[in-house]
Amino acid sequence: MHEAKIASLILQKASKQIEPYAKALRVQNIELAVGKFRNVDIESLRFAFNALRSDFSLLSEAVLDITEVDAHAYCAANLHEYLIDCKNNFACPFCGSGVGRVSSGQELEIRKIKLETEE
Amino acid sequence: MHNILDIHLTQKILEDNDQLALHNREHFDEEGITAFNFMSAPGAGKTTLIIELIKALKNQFACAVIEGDMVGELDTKRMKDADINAFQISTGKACHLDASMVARLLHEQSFDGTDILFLENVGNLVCPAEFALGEHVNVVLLSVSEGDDKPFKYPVIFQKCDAVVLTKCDLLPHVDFSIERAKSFLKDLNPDAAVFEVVAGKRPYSNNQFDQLVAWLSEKGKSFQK
Repeated sequence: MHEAKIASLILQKASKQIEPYAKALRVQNIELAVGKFRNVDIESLRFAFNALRSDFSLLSEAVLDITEVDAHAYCAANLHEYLIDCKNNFACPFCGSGVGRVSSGQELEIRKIKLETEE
Repeated sequence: MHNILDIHLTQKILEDNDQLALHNREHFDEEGITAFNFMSAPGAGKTTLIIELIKALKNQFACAVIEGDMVGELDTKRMKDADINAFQISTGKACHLDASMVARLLHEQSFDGTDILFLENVGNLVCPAEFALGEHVNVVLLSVSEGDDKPFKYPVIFQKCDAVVLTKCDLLPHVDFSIERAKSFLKDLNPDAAVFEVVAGKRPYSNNQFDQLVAWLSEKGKSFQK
C-alpha cells in the first residue's frame, strides 16, 4: 500500500510547481504517466489522492488524469523490441528469449498540471 | 475571467528517493561496502539465510545487517544472538525500506570496517521493488511453500533482481512446487538472474547450492571492494 505515499508525493510536488504563480486559484487536474511494469495500483492511487488532496488548499478539487504506459522490452538474445504481454507470457514473441531490458512501462511521472489563475 | 495555464513537465514522482539512494550508494562506495538488498514475501527465510551466509562469509568479510521490519526488533535480536553486528529500522506503517530510512541510519551509526552489508527488507514482494536503497545487488528469495508461479505473479521484483534463491527446498517432497516451472518463468522474465536452490542450516537436500550462493556473494563482495 505504497500508493498513499505516492499520492502524497504527487500533491507535494504539484504544490511546489505552482508556487511561482502568484495568481493561482486552483489546480484543475494533474496528468500522470504510470507504466504498466510498475507496482502501482491506479484505483488505490486515486483513492489515496482524493483522501489527501483536501490538505492542500489549491489542490483540493484537483482531479488525477492517468495515462497508463504499455510495457515494452528488448529481448535478451536478439534485442527484438516487443510489447510485454503481462497477462500470458513475458518472453519475446519473435524468438522466445527472455526480457533483456525493459524499455518502457516503468514511468511514474507528473506530465502536466492544469492551473486556473486570476487574469 | 480566469485563465487556464498548462504547466508541462516531466517530474519523476520518486526522484527524491532515487537521489537519496544514489547518495547512499556513494557512501557505500567510499567506505568499500558492498550492499545486498534481500527481498521476499514474509516467511521465506531471509533472516535464517542471512545468518547462515554470514557464518560462511565471516572469515573473508566483515559483515553487518540492517533489519527492516514494520514492528519490533525480533530479527535484530536473532542476529545479535548469533554474534552479528545488526541495526534495526522500524518502518512503522510502511511496507518497505526506503532510501531515507537507510540514509538516516548511515549517518547515525558507524559502519567503519564493514565489507558486506545485508539490507533485509520488509517481507513483501510488491512495494520493496519500487524503492531503491542504494544497494549494489538485489537478491529475491522464494520459498518453495509459496508456489512456483510467484515470478509470474510478481514480475517487477523478479525482473529487476540479480539472483533468486529458492529456499526451504527440503520441503519439495511435501509441496506442489516445480523447480523447472519456477525457472522457466524466471528465464522469460530475467534470463541473466542467477538461481540457487538452498536449504538453510544443515538439513539434507541433495541439490543444495548453498556453497555456490556463498561463492557468488563472495565474488560480488570482492568486485565492489575498495
